[in-house]
Order: sequence, then C-alpha cells, then structure tokens
Amino acid sequence: MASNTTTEVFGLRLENPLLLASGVVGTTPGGLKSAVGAGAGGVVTKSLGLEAREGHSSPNVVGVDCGYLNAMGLPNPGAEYFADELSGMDVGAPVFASIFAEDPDQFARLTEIVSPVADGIELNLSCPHAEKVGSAIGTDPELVEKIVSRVVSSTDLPVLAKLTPNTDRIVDIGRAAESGGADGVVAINTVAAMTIDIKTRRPILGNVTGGLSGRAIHPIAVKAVYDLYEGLSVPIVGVGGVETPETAIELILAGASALQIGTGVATRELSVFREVDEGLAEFIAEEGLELEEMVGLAHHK
Amino acid sequence: MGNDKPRIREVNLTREESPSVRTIRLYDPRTSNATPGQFAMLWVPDSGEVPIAISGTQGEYSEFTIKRRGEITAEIHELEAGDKIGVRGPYGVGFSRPEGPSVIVGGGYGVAPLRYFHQRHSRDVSLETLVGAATAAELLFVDQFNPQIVSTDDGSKGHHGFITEVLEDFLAQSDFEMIYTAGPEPMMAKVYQICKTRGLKLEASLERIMKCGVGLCGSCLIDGFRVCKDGPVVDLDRLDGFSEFGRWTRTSSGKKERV
Repeated sequence: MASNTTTEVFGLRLENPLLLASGVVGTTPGGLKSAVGAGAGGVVTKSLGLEAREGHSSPNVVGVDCGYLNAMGLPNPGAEYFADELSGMDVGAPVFASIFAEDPDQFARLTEIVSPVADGIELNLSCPHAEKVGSAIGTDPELVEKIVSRVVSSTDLPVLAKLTPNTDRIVDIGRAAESGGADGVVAINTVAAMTIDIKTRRPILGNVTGGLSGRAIHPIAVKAVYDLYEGLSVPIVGVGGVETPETAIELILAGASALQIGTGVATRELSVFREVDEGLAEFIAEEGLELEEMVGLAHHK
Repeated sequence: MGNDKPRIREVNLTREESPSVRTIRLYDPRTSNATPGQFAMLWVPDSGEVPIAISGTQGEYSEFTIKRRGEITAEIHELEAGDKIGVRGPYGVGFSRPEGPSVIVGGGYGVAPLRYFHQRHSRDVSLETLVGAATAAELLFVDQFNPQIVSTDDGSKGHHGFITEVLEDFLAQSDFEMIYTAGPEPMMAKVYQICKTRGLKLEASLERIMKCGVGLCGSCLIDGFRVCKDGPVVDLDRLDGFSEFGRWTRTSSGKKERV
C-alpha cells in the first residue's frame, strides 16, 4: 500500500481514499471483504431497506459504448438481515452502510439497525430507478434536510448524503444536507438513462429506464464535485467513472477528499483499487504534494 | 461495455433433449469461440434475461441447452427457428484444457457445458463420462458422451441412486488424475470430497443467481467470489477457500438459502 495516500476523513482513517461504491459487489459481507482484499480503502454496502427486496425484472444491466446502464431495483436482504450477517465480521476497512427509505422516520429506524455494525452511514437520496425512494425524495431540499437531521440525531457515526445528478439543484440539495448536519456528501449517483434495441424496437432494461455509470459520467461528476466544493464546506466524496489514476486525480482537484469506484470493478478488475492507488501515490510524490493539499486545487488560479 | 449489449440473433434450429430440456442454435461468432464452461446471457424481449452455458458450437453457430425452470426459460422453450433472441457474452472463466485422460461427472442439465467440453477435447484426450439424472428420460447427451456409467434417481436406467455412489468404485479401478464436473451442487460437493480423499485434481462449474454477468452487481457471490466473472469454473484450491459451497446459495434479494 502506498503510504502517501493514507488519509483521514469524517474522523476515519483510510488506507487510501478509494472506497467501493454502493451497489457494486457489496451485496454480501464477503463481497465487501473481497474489495478490501483488492485494495479498497473502505467500502459502502449495497443499499439496505427495512424489508428484503428482489429488485427489478431482468435485464438489470446492459453495456453501452461509454459505460453501463443498470436498473437493479435495490435488491437487498433487508437491513436487519445484512447487519446480522456483518456483525462479528472483520471487513478490514471502514464500512459505510448505505440505506434507502421513503421518509425521515424510516431512515431513522434503518440508522438504528445498521449503526452497531457500521463505521458510517451513506444516505441513498439518489437511486434513479426506484419508486418513492432514492432520487424521488433526494431532489427536494427541504425533505433532504429533514431526513439528514433525523439520521444525524439517531447515530454518532458520520453521515454522508449521496446526491443525484438528475437535477439542476445539486448544490442546493448539498447545502440542505449540510444544514441538516451531514458530515459530507457523495456525488454523483448514476445519470438517468435508457437504451433501446433497434431490431426488436424494445427498451432493453426490464425496468425500461435505469442509471448510466462508468466513463461517460466522469465529466458530469467532475462538474458536480467542482460546484459542490464552491458551495459547501463539508468534505465531498467523488464518484463517477473513476477507472484510472488520472480520473481519480481529476475529481480530487475538483474538490473530492475521497473517491468511490463502482463500474471500474467490471471494466478493469477488482484490482482497479490497487492500480489507481499506486498511480495516485506516484502522482502525489512527483508533484511534491500531500493528498489533502490536492483537494480542490483546480479552484485556485 | 459496448460488447455487453445484447446482439439480436435468429434461432437457427431447436431440439428437444428431454421432456424439460431444449437446445437452441444461433449464428453468433462471439460465443462460438468461447471456452467450454463459459456462458452467455440470453434475452427474450419483454420477458427477461437468463445466464445459460454454451453447450456446443458448430462453425460460427453456438448451441444453448436450457432447462425449463421459470417464465423466461419457458419462453425460450417456445421459440422456433426464425424467432429472434438477444445474446451477450461469452462471460466468465471456463474449464482448462485437459492435459491427459480425464473423467467427466455430470448431473441433470448441468451436463450442458460438459457437452461442449467433450465436443472440444474428446479427439485429443481420452474422456470417460459418468452421467446422472432424475429419470431415464432426463439423461442428456447419452449418444455423444457414450457414458461409462449412468445413474437415475428413480432407477429407470443404470445405477439406482446418485452418480457419486458409483464414482468411487470407478476411480478405484482406474488411474485418472483429473475430474471435470457440473451439475447439482450437492453432487459436486460429493465429487469434491472424493477428489480431496483421493488426491485428485478437480474443476467444477458453479451455479448462482446472476443478474449482470460482468462482475458488477454481486448477485452471484459465493464467499465474496464473483461466480459470473471469476468463475463459474473453479478448481479445487478455490473450493477449499469457500465456506458456502455445498451449503448455501443466495436468493435474488441476497438472503442465504440451503443449496
């Protein structure tokens, strides 16, 4: 592990700033452990709800030239079940529990369920393809502030709000999360998208529409992080198309204190964490900087 | 990425293999170059997508052998020559090339990838096959495998019981060092134990719920191992590291369920 990429954010020491993004491989505690084994500095669980959910009908994932579309539909075994399986297991790095719900009360209940087994909470306010949850509630700043403040008062753990890019108000929503007491924000979730098979003339995803991830959304993430850095004072976790050291560095310069990798585990391998970490370490050494000094450097002329 | 979008193919022929199993053949150069043990995602528009092992190839045509298990596989069973289906893949890691005389142990529709394996390698090395099924009618690819031993759960053909009950005797009278297996997990777990006891090498093709096929979604995890991307074929050392193999699988929501 490269030592100059070790960092501290949200009061947690991370071996490196690269976290496994929610929804990717983290469906079981064993999957989280595999990501840490492959070099992730921390992990985020699959989004957990109060009840078990099977997710949308298939196809759930389809590739396009510039990334992947998915409409998993938040499959998860339920927060209690997951917490039970995770308890007593040493994942080897900080674990953020991602939770989704329809209202502040449900979020508070979920927070109480997952807090004993997690090191942080990530609020899914941004899944673009599920009814009544995710971006359906994450585009209303007032509601976001209420949810965040209920969650913050229900736990001692750091609370992060994961934001949707499917709005022209991402900074307002980020500010609302900050006012509610969020320790940080995560940007971005997938971009609402769909694809149609031209021969059968049918939408390919079982859910018809889904979210786009991967390299196509990297520049969108860079702008979101850049704008949030201007408007907020809490740390930002950058996510969207991080597959190489260069894509990681760009998000850090835009203002990200930590990063998440999702689609990169499919387009590269699980070893994407180690590769990006090594490239980042090399860059930091060459530039003669500390990682923390790099955050937001693109804002200074 | 772009390769992970379904290619629409015309069904070239269909064939009934047993009362619950059919084979379809498609012109699809990408999957026709697959390694035996790899699979593809087959998409029936407006119905859904399922992971199916490649069961054979002929030129640039690929065959898929499908057990009727749910709505989507039932729709595939209804397809006729000329109908359209989507295919993406091949995915995953397949079987290694056999280096010497080897044994194939198959059960139920799990013999599908082993049929392709046999088709690819039976001219180069000697392959002895042991096949089990629920009933005589469900024994698959008997003509191609020309199996040494067959078994049926109901005793309607061959040994009355599980194929693993006769595997040990068969191995005791031979000096094979390598076994390739696919089929119900309890069967493969028994084959694994036999290989451990006798010091034999083994490759097994695992089955889990797969939703993405590309190592993203985590539906197919077994002890944190991505069956769709880093499997489905695994060797004995890999199986040694699993606590869930032979015991637990996962439902669509990620809950554990007895194998």
